[in-house]
Amino acid sequence: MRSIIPIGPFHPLQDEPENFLLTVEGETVVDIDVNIGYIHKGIELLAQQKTYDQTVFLVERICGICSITHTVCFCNAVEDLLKVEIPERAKYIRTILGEIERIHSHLLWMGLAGHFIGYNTVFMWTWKYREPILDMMEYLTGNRQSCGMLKVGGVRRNLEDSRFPALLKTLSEMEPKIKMLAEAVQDDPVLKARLEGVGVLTKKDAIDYCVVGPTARASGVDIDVRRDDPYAAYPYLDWNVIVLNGGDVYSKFLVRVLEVLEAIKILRQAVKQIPKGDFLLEIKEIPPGEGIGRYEAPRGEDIHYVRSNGTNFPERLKVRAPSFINIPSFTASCIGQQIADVTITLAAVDPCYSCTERMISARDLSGNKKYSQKDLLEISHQKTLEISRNLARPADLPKLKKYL
Amino acid sequence: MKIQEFIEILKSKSKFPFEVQQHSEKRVYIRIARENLKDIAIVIFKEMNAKFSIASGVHIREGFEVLYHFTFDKDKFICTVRTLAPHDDPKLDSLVSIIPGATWIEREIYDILGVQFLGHPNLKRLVKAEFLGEKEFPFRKDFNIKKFKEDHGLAPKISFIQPVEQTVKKSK
Repeated sequence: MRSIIPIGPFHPLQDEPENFLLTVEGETVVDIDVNIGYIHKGIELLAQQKTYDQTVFLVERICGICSITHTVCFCNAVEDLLKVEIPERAKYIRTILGEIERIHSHLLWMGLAGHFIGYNTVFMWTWKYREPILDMMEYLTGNRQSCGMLKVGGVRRNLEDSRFPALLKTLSEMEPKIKMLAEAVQDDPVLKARLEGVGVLTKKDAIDYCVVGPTARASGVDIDVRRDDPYAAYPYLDWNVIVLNGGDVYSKFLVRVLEVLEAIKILRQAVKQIPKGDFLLEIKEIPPGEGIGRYEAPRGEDIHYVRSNGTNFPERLKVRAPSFINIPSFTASCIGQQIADVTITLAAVDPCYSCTERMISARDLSGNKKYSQKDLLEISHQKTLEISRNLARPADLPKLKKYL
Repeated sequence: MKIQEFIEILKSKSKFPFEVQQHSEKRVYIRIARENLKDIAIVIFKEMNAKFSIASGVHIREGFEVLYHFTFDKDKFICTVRTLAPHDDPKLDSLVSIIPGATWIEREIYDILGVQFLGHPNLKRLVKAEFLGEKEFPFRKDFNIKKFKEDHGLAPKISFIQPVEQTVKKSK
């Protein structure tokens, strides 16, 4: 007997509104239908009414945790249209920010994956290790997310060289913990039993459904935009593309753990090699034309298509986030699975979650006092100062206070 | 394989005319008639093993231009195939039978631009909000955002603040 189980649009496990209709026969899934569109924000249409400088801030808000991804991708697209080469220092800064983002995004997914299979130790571990790297983002750029660093032609603000030692220190503290996690994942019988052989996406399906990123690399498809269509400083650095052949959730987990280690390797080299000099190329006019930008986001290949008609506003901006092409592959990976395995299979492509972590409550516990924007800004400044105080050398402190 | 070689191979394999515009070393744009869309998809996707990245729909003066972006990952370039569906007959052949990954993007273009994809197994709306009608396409240039907002009560209510009359005290 067939029955249909609806999951969503609001369900307790996945934080974002999506609707899955599972057709089941007994315990086995025989068909799946995915409905999206509950949080369509109309960003592509909105971008047609904004200037190029404003669009950079707009695309930063497409995703809650990929604020660097979409901005760099949009800048790549416009720079492709203009056929310009950005300054070397800007390339390295983009690489550093992008890899910090990759580390925290992968750790976020690992925690959630552990939570989905009811193994909360992994969840606690990874989110604990994720916090220092977010603090590092705040220490370098001034914000955990949506830092507003990018601009067409380079970066908006410079990164201070005096802050890199703290980054290296955090990385060296983090690396043994991630290695321990990698070993634990490979040894742990619970994780292995729960993830191995679950939600297999074969290589043929991966190619047919055109999946990207860790989802494709776990199925044996050797693609990575950082190597295949180099942008930023990746051609100057030595690193590996992680490809596994399993295709199951376990392989996807392992790909992400190993990519975090690669990201640490990239960051160390980038900090060592970063040159001094200009970080922004002045761009005065954008001629009519078309440009395509690509970026290897934590979830896969992000692609932006920009068409200009010579005015100040883009005529068309097409954004393809990696999840858009990864989610239809559920049709291939879920059919024939048990219902209990479907939750982790659905989560395995890392559908994008928004995260707003700065303030837990905007209301005072004792009364009903609400914080105004000014109060929130001041609390935010205090926290940045506190992080800087913990990380910076004492000599930097007076300099920091000047900004606040 | 460089872009020039790719064009040569494409010319030898395909029996239909196309127009090439090379933007840079990594980007090439090809214009074809809409009748040949399926043939070029078979050549590029099946025989030359490109990856289908995405399609973009643009409303231009002549009609609806749909651009299919194919990435050649080993050869480090992107080939964009552009085709046109005219205003009076906005129909294109669906590529889903050749590329299963094109399912959602064809639904999206149908949803926001109103291009029909012939042969799509499940051509229904994807992203547009439910209160938007079946015939309202926000990405068409003749879509009136201001009127739409007024119709659906989304327009911001602007009320002008009356300037306060200031009484000037004369200093004695």
